[in-house]
Amino acid sequence: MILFDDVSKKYLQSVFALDEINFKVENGEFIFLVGPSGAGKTTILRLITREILPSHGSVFLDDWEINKLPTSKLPYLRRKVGVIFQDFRLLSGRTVAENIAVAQDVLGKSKKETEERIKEILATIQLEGKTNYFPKQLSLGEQQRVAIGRAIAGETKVLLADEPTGNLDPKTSWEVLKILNQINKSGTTVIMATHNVDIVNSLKKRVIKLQSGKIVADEKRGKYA
Amino acid sequence: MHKENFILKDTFWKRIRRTPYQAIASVLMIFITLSILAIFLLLALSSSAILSYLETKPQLTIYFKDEKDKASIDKLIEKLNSTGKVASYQYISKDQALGKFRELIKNDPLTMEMVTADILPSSLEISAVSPVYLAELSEAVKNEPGIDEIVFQKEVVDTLITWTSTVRKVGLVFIIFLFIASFFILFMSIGMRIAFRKEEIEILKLVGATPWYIKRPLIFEGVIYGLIGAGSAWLIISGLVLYLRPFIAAFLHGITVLPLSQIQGLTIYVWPLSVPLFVLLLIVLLACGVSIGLVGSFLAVGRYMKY
Repeated sequence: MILFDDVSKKYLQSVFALDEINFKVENGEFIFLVGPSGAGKTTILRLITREILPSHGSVFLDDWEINKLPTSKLPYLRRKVGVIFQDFRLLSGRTVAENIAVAQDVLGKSKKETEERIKEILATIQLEGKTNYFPKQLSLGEQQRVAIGRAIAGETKVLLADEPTGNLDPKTSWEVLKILNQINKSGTTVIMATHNVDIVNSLKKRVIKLQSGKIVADEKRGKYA
Repeated sequence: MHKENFILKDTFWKRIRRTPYQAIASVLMIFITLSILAIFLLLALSSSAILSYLETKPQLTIYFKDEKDKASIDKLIEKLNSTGKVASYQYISKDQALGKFRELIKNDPLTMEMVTADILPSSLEISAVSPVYLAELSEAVKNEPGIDEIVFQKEVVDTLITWTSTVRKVGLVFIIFLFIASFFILFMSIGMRIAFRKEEIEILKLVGATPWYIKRPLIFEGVIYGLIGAGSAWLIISGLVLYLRPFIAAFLHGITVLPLSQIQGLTIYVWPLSVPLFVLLLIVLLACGVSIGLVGSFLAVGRYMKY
């Protein structure tokens, strides 16, 4: 469960990135965050990963009040929250398997456990034949799939996707969406910030619409007009 | 593929290849620092050992005009002992002096025949607790009756004391300066490495790596630089000392053994050159190298890497 309780975020003295927003995300939900650039979508995601702190209010992940979490607990929060980005952020000098292994490595998993997990992940992201490829040898869609693989390889309960299809063509975007949907069906909560109207309207998931840091709509089977 | 730290896996050599100049600068600086430390250490140990050697020899000899009776010798010894600065003493009678002299000139029978006990003075040989007290002891007894001459190795001892003290002081200042320079170069080298790997470190943080997981390989890198610097310094300085062995032997003419100290029954000799001396040097250099690496890299990750 993720809860935003009266959360505001000011980057400058008078500019509100988020303005007193409240919403709750149940475990296993798939949510789209939509809105124009600067509406506050990425700010919400960065508050969940505790890359930034709210100026006011509280953010919860289950029993943890994220904004009050001691720094020593941050790694444990981030192991539960996977993130993918528009620009993938893969390690260019590592293979597909090694990029995914990093999430297992920080958990201190054994070689055997890691190899088994990598096999499962490669099957989920449909890249079984490209284990030893380097990112530059992959298409953009494949690179995003590797990023998804890394994000879910640990103890991930929540997957945050920040414009994951922003750099992809429509066909590849749908492939990525299909994988995200599949991950959600296996129980992982997915929160995706996007501008992609087609995807939002076709999937008929909960949509939270933001404008100037405020929630202007929150619909169960929403549309992005 | 696994069970080692993910950054650690990006091997040390691979990282050196990426930014060779910083790595070389760091190792070179540690090497120079530790080489100079080794030189000063060996000089300090040698001069201390020579000083100790001289301390075991009679350093002050009081020559008497005539053979002294036991009472006046005892009185003189009591006066010297009362200063608390006498380590040992030995009275040499005219006959004993003749025996010693004959031993010295045993290859010269003509001279041996000419010398009798009458022409040799009796004497009192004194070893001081420390060579710095020699002048004071000489001063204390010089006006006593019956004393012909007081001889002590003042110049040699004074020079050695000055030399030892200078080596220690100059060495200490020099070594402190070089240690600081080494820390800074290592600090900057690790700092730049952190800057180069900023994106990777951000990713590691996002997937839940602990600060120690991220810092460990960088600290390990600093320690490796320290070890390489220390090992190289030891090899070069040991080679140099072995090469200079004939010159050292000439310099120490007459001195055959210079023990440094005893550790659990094992005597470490400064001269002749011994394996324990080189092992001791290696241990000191490795400890210093690891310390420079640890402290430098710890400071760098603390300064440049915030979680």
